[in-house]
Amino acid sequence: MKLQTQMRHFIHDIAPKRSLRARVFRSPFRKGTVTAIRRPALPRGYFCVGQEDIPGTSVLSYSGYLMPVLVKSAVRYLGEPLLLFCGSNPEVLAQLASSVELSYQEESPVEYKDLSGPYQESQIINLAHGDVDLAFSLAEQIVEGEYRTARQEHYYPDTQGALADWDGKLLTIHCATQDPFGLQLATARCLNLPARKVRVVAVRTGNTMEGKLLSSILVAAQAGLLAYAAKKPVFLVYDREEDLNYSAKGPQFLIRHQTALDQDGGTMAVRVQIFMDGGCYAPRSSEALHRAVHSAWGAYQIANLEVTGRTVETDFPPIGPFRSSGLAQAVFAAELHSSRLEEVAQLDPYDWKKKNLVEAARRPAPASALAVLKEVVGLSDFIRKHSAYCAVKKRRKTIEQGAYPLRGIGLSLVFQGDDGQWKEFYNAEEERTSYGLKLVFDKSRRLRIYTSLVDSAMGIHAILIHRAAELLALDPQKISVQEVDTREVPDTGPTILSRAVAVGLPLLEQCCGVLQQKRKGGVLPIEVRRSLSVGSPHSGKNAPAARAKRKTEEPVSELSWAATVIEVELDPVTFQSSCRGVWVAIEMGTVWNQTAILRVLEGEILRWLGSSRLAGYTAAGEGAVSACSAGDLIPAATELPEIQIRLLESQSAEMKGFDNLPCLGVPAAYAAAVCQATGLYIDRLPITAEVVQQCLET
Amino acid sequence: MPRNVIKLGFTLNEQPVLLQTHPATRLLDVLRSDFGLKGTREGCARGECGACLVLMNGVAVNSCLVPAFALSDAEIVTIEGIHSLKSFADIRKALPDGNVYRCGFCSSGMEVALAALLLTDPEPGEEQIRKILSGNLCACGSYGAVVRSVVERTIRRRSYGRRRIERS
Repeated sequence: MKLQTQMRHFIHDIAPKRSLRARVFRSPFRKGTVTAIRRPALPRGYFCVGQEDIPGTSVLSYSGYLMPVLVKSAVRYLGEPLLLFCGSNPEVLAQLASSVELSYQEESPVEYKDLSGPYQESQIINLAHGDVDLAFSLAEQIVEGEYRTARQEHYYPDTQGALADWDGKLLTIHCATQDPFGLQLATARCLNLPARKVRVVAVRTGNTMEGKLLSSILVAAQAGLLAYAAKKPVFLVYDREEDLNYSAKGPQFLIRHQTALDQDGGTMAVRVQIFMDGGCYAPRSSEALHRAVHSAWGAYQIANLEVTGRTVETDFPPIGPFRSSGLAQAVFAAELHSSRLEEVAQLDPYDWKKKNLVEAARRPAPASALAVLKEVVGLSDFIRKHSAYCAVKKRRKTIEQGAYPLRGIGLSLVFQGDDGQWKEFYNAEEERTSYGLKLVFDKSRRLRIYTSLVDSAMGIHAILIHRAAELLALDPQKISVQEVDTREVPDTGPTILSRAVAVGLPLLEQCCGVLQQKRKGGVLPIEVRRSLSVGSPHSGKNAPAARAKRKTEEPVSELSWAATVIEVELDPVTFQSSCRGVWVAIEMGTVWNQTAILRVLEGEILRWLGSSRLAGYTAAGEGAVSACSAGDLIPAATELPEIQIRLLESQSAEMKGFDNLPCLGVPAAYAAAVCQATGLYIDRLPITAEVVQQCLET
Repeated sequence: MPRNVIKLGFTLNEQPVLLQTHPATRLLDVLRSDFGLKGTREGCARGECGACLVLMNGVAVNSCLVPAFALSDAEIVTIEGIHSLKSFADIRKALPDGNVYRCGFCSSGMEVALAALLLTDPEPGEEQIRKILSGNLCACGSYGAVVRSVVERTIRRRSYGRRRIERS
């Protein structure tokens, strides 16, 4: 019986029967030195690869993050890959892996409870303007807060896997990856091959949370090494446990805020210290820390600001890219800290946010920010509910367990920049000079889009097709996106939705403009190709200039804005929370394909609501890997709250990034709502029932 | 026959089949490896996410938790069966549009769960749909779109049925 056409193929569905299976032998200890590895005798048709067999570089580097393909002696985390096996029978592979004789000297990993402990720093970023010291010396009151966010698990539905085949001239890799050309370059370096000798075919990915960037390159390089040795197709796929335990995670953060206030509770100066856990292979330059530092005071303007960001090297497993990493944590800390400042200033969150958008900087606030705030406050009846819950909170002295349900409502205001700014991190080795896109309009008047942007849960292909259909007045049914194969399509860069919108859409629009002109009286087929050099405004080398612009010019038109209100109810006995409603107002420029965008936003809101209140994070301070399960992270259909999303009309003719808005706004609004419901200062993510209980006890 | 291998017969998508395997082999592996039915997907592998749901004697079960020895004389219907068998033609009409899913990984599990509900209740309400989907975890949070699509199709079928009755 054949697979139905409407079903989508993932990496697990494509392995040919003749391919060899693969297995990774990993270190059974967390930190130390391997003194000897004795490989077992291999049956015929079985192969083993160690670090000494790697023809090229053995440490993968991607957008500043590092991950060794295999190690020989120095082990830095539990489960670090030591040997690779491949052969026809998975049971024999398991036996071979269990027969490896390993001698090693184990060392005790350093366990600091606090990320600000005496770690080695791999990267420091400072940002300052105004006279912070003077403002603090004149302050009437100083408010301090310390906020923590734990490591983040991507939990993509399809585990990491790759199918590699070396025919003596060309290495073909099928892999679920968000960056086929990045994978091509990294694998070529590992195998010491020219990039043209590596062909990557991207397979559909599940909802990745950017987990199919670094870890997918690792698994592809491992499969490539085995295929290179065996000269046969090799299929390497991690099972769920292996994937949860050993793939790179989003980093944990510790963020300290100090705010100087005047006698009316007005904000005079802000001082922020950010510590990012870089793991055992701490990046020297990561976009996460840059984002955290530049967004340390969230959406608000302040005349005197001092931010110090540090990436610290720890004895935790490696970190990798994660959706909105750094920005999400910084905004969470800033929004939660602002809820303390609102109390001191005796303002409701709406008024405090408006005041700090306008007055603190003494210049006009972005109109979009004020518009989304106003819209969401009206939509959710925020002011009435907030004052009612405040009155309840004031009346009760303590939380009497079992007495009544605890209710609260939270408001957050967040922005998202153009992720094209951060593109320099995806070109750390400077081997990519331009990003391109191609259109082919064939004789049957069908349009084909050639791009390396991979289709995934974010619906980028739907957005591209919709936009092309509109510009060329074509039936969307007659437009398709070519299978992503590095031999066929140009490099459009990694598939991160906001970046894809910032880079892919302008390229598509340029191509459509040219195609429209050529179509008039032209002979079919017509082929149009356009590219952006890596130094262009959208492509990242001008990032410092773009960042400077954001700090100096108002209104900031390239930012999209979202205001989120979440109302929660906590069970007074168990402290389990349920969400009574989510209201979001968004300004994201011109909206192409509203249906697709609303579907993405609704899904992301639900996912981040789950991440905020379930245990889908590795707790900060845990050294070893800690696997979570699907149920720890993903809310069920019965937990679906009422979600209302308003997309505001915009003056901007361009569509701006929007995919990060839920992961920035939802945790902050949820935390503020739980703080109001319980009357506690909760300072960490995720906010599980156990966390509420702990805060109550302390 | 090698030791630790059992031989048994069951019905797969209304076809009688014979299977020779280790008794502890998971039904999920039997379907994907022995019968090449890749629509049933492995998600969490511990019975939490529902990506591997199949109908076993008309009830939705997580195939990652069903050992091969339990298959003797069972009637198994996979997503491929739901999409192609005549006996599921009515149920297919009530299943959501393919474009309501975002990444689509969990779609087959969700549709099996919905088929199990529609077998017992051809016109389920929103609450029942949500309840039956509580065993399916969708990393993209597509529940809202799926529920709305099924409700919409149910209403459309109901009004179509009424019109037919009135005409006759």
